Amino acid sequence: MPEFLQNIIPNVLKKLPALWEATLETLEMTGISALFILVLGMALGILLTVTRKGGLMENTAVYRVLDVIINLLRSVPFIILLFLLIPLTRIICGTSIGVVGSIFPLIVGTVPFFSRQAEAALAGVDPGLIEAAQSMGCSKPGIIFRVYLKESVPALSRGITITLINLVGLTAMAGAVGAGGLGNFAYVQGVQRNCYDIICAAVVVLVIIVQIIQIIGNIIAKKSER
Amino acid sequence: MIRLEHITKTYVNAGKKFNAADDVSLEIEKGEIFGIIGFSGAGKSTLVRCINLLERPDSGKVLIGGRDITSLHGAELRRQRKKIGMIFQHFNLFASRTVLQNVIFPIRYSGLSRQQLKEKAMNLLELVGIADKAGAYPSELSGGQKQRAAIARALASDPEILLCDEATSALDPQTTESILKLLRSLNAKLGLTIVLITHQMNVVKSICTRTAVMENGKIVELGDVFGIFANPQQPVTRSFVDTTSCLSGINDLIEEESPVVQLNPGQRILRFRYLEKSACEALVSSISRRFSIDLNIVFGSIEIIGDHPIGGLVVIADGNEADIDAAVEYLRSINVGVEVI
Ligand SMILES: Nc1ncnc2c1ncn2[C@@H]1O[C@H](COP(=O)(O)OP(=O)(O)O)[C@@H](O)[C@H]1O
Ligand SMILES: [Mg+2]
Repeated sequence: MPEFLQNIIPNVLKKLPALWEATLETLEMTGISALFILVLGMALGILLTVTRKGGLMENTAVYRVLDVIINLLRSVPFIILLFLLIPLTRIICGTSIGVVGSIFPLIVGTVPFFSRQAEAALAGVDPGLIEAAQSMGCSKPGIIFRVYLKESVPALSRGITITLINLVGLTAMAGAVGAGGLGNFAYVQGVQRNCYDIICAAVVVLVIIVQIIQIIGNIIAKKSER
Repeated sequence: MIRLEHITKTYVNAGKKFNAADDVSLEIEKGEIFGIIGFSGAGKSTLVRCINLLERPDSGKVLIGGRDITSLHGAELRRQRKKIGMIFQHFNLFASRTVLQNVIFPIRYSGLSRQQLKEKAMNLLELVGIADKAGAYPSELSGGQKQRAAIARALASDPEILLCDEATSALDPQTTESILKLLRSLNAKLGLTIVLITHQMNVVKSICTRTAVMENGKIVELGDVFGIFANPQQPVTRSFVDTTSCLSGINDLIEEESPVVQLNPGQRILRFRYLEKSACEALVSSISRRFSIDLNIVFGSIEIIGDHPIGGLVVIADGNEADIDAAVEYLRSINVGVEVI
């Protein structure tokens, strides 16, 4: 068996510790930026929902401004955004390379996407429920947390799943242009040294990470669905 | 208890102004079951939503127990709303919460302990007859059970008023009847003032004490239910009254040219509206004797509205013209509504 592996993935076996390290870096980048993305994106999603026409705190000016900014950011390809943000990233993270340097662009690149996912999930809450809560004398924060968020858990968990999967993909892209992680590993050890089995190994690990996220997301969505 | 003064609400739809409520004034007494009936789009929901200020009227005042609530905002308004329960056509239960949690929702932060909350909610579920469903989710309930859960939730903060916006419109006739029965018993037991909006005349007929008829944002007729049925004034009101009476069936028969209504020379169809029951039977024999005409009954109905029997007949009268005219004249003179069809 080891001989067989030696024949098909010789380079991977030599680089196993590096592969492990790259995997941890990917998880680290995903985890840290996800924390910010979920909080900021959720806040924006809520803001979009309540300020839109007919919303709980209708405010057309705020809604329009947010709407335009989000659309603008979403239309910039991530790879360009990475370059575009280099000066700002240096100021905020202290560096524009490595795991630390990738966090800020990952956040900027994914928050707009997730805020739309959150907005869509909240829009799926029956307006009748909002009206019922209002008729019971429920406050606005009460309606946001006890009705909007609680009732949209299944849709939100699906939105979060898609966002995290996207995010894993973006960490790999960031990795290829200077951040760490599996993208960097595949590019430096695989592409540049012409070791095809390294590239394949990176793909396998990424697929496994994505599958785990998907499975957990599905379980949560299913459990919360009524 | 509830007093609406010159309520006006205007919507702008596609640049056009539209009065959903047009200078409506109304007074609803404590302990009443007050109906507001009208066709879809008449402005009933708009009007009832003004009572708890879910909709703020453009002008006019809403007084609850003598207090002008149109001036209330924020926390004060929310406190007032807790005193006005509301139920809806589509129940609007929180799908992610059990029935018990739904009932607890409005009083969750009212200062009661967990134990007290649960006790109170269970009592309410007992009251509406679905205590055994406390742990179920709304998706596991039938329509009638959902509306019962919604009623329990609306009663959680001990309101004095219950607003019902088409609360039975999504239910089948039997379930509607059982929900109306429940509302009637809540009205009696708790002294709850109920404002009930509907487009179904039989709902008004079976539980309301007084009713207003709405059309184009205005109240066009208002009175006790018996009076509205016995003597509808407006065309809309008449069309609603007709929907619950088989006496309008004669029009369909005539349209279909049914053999039942093929008249021989000298025959005429008469419709007697809303006679007192006692008079009803005696009348037929007494006029046929008195005016020597034959009366052949095609339809007849007697129902009980607000404790009074009320009914009508459709008959084919056979006799000479002058005698029939004299009979009609006589009937009108004793306050029986007669139409010659
Ligand atoms: N938020 C709104 N914006 C614009 N038009 C509305 C709004 N709510 C109700 N309307 C209009 O007001 C009229 C009355 O509506 P409603 O009070 O719901 O009638 P009903 O309950 O008697 O069917 C309808 O023509 C409806 O289209
Ligand atoms: Mg309505």
